[in-house]
Amino acid sequence: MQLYSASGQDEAVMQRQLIFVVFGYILMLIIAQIPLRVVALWVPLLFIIGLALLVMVLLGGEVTRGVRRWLEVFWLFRFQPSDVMKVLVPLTVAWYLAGQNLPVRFPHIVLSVAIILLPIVLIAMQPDLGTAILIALSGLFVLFLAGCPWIYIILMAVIFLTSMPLIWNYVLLGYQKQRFITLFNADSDPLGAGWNILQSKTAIGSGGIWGKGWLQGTQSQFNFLPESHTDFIIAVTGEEWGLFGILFLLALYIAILYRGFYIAWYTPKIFDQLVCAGITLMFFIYALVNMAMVAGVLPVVGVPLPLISLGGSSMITIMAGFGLLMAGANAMRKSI
Amino acid sequence: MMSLAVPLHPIANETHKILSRRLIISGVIMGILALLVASRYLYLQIILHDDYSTRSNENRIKLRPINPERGIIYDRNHIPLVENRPRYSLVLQSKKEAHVNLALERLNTILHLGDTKINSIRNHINQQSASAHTIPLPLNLDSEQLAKIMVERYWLPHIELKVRSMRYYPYQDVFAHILGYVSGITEQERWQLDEVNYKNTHVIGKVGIEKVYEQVLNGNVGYENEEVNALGQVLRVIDKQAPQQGKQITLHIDSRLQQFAWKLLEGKQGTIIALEPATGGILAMVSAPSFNPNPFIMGMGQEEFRALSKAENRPLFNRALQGQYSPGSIVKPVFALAALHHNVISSQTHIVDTGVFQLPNDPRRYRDWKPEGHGEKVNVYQAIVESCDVFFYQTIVNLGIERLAPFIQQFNFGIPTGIDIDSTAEAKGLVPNDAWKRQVWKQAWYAGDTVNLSIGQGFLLTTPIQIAVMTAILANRGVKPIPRIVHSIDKKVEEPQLTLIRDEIEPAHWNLVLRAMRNVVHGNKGTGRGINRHIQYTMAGKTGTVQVVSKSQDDEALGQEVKEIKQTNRDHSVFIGFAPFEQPRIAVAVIVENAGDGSKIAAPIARKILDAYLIP
Repeated sequence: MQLYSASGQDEAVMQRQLIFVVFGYILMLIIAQIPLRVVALWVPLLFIIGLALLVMVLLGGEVTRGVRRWLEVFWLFRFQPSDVMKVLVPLTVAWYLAGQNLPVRFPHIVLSVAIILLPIVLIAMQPDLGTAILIALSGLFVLFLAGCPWIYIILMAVIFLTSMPLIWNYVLLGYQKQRFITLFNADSDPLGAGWNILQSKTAIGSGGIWGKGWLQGTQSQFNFLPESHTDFIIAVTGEEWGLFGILFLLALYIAILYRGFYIAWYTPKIFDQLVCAGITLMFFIYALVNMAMVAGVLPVVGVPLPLISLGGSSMITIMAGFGLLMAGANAMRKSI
Repeated sequence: MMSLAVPLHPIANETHKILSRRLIISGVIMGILALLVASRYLYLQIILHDDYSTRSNENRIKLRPINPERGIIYDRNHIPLVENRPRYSLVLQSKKEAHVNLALERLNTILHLGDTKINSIRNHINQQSASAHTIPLPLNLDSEQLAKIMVERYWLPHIELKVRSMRYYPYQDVFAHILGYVSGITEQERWQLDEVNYKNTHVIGKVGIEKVYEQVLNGNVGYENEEVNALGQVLRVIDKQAPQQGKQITLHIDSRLQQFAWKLLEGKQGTIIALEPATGGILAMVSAPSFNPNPFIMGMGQEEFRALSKAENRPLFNRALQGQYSPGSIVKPVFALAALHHNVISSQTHIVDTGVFQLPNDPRRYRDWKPEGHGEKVNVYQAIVESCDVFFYQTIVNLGIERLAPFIQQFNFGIPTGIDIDSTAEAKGLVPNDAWKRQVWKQAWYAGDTVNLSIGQGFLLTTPIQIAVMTAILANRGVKPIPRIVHSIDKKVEEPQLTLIRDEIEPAHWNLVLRAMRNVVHGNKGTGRGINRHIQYTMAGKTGTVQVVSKSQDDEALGQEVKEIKQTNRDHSVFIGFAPFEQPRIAVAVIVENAGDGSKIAAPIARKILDAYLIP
């Protein structure tokens, strides 16, 4: 419904997205039937395929606005291999750690970080730094949940913070820096990078508590708000449904977080626990980062709002993740 | 939020305990983060609500990009070669199919354009970039149409009448191959462009100077922040940043000389290139026939474009840079230098020319252009002046292709000149050798191939611009310039790029060859003596007559050029020259296709060019 309004009441867009929802739903149900120990057998192979896809993107992916992210798959749809990695990275780290004799010790950390770094570097080269950071985070979550000692967590944070100046100078591209600058001074470039944030904040702010009503958002309906049906869709929610709508949406996300953690808490096997908790955390962080980015507190990193934004491969990835969660829930029920 | 009151996990070993603790910790952290995000929205939507409402509802701020004026291109005497004219155009405001259909239907009712025209407009719309919000329609409105639209404008939905500054090429065909033209931005090009800077720009340079210097000419977009009310009326301008206008480009081109050259080639097919040997600056470069670039700006119909691109005389083809010709006898001065430099001949070496040359053990008879031959004692000096073929047959066979090829490459044969327009489109020409022939023809190099090549025929191919550079190198006694069209950008002069050729040729050899070239025109036996009447300066020159027929018999692989030439059997008329002889200020290369003898057509044209430039 939100997408319908945001895409300018474009029914073709709705139909396509509906196909993805149905397809994702079926995929979720199928995955839910596979016990996670069977999934575990396939994890390394899937991970390697995922890496191969990323390499293919770098070599021959379609260039959209100077960025290689998409890969043409058959005639069906264009998909973003980095999306698949959102699930595969936590899964692989969980698979690796569950096979070890826990609690986590130093060598485990080194190997886990290696597993995380491999796809991250490939994604960062696309260049898609935002996604790379978030995927890294989702892998590190699993490591954290598995009981990585605090001393190493602090160490990693220190290393990251001290390498910030280096990253700024050598890794970040011009437009990425621009986005950080824009965050603190949206007026610095009102025609370009600052435009999105200025417009999305205006849309949200003008929505007030109760919003302007569905299809009544002037910012979004009059094309003031760019990317309104993809990454910035929550600005349309904020404008049309107000704070009420935002909090309602946030409550839904928290409910999913709660349910995911509940499964992770009770499901018996350590692998299942790590997978369920990792995927839930990843999902929730995506929602938060997107909401923060649109509200102008984080730089524009190109992260869609899970389950709401337009985008086939993101939708299918999330549904697949939920399938894994449901598989975990099945195992939980059997054990009680 | 996680409740802490959940019962402990059934299998409560150490790992599970840690995991459970960690789950609680992450739950708490997530909760805090969610609270932070929620409070941000609270702040925006409650505390700042009034601010943003004002901004959004009552007084919406509209950001309007202001296009920079495209830079003007001048000739060397500051005569503008392009104009920016204000032009009325209809701009489509929506891309939705229903809107487009309605708009076009009404437009047709008002202007009676007819279905074919409407369809071509529709095609044009469909070709536009998906990211373009507004699309200017490819219509040239006359005053009557303009009046009709003014009257009916409130009945015409989704279309606005706008005044825009549009490029215009007042000289039409004359500079088309140099300046190129601007035209609508395609989807593919849109991705490569700076999104912000081209937000409201609809054309970019497609060929020539307009393309190569697109970044420089376009300038930078400015903007105006306008406060508009709900009806879209501008209340006030809040702030404004003026656009940075496109830079001015000054060319080496002398527009008077260019127009004169253009007239000389009227109705002919061919090329005239004139340049300043000392700088490489191109004074005139005509490729005839040419085309009028103006229709390209608004986008021409497919039929129109097809007619132009398929025309037999190929007006879109830039012969000066892309045409590959056998050069003919004009290469003889350079070939003579090669033979002298490698000591194959001296200034005294002479041969007997009976009008026929034969290789040992080969029955084939190679003829001189003069059937009775040039006499008992022909030396290199006479051979250049009288363009004696037999002398060069003998000399170059003795020199051999493997010594000739690298030598003439120094005179820019077989490599692009690096001229500052259409560097990708510039043809390379061909300097053949044994390795090349084995690769392409699967055959060894025969002495007969060298014979053909020795008078600028055979496999050797050159472009007119290469010939012009060769002429400049001769005029400069070994200093090679890179030809340059652009003289300066916004007063900042582009430095000439000059290099010395690799082989150090003895001054005596230069003197000999250049003196011979002078006597081609001024000597009483010179092949170009026909143009020396009443001449007010001393010049050097060389005639060439390129056989077209004999070439087409054996050179199928050379492609379209040859096929095209087959249509007619007459020779190409070629002439190179420079003047004044003592202190050359201009070098010129003329090729007229299928015009016959070089001394009859090309040489008089060259003389007129030199006169026009040197005599005030």
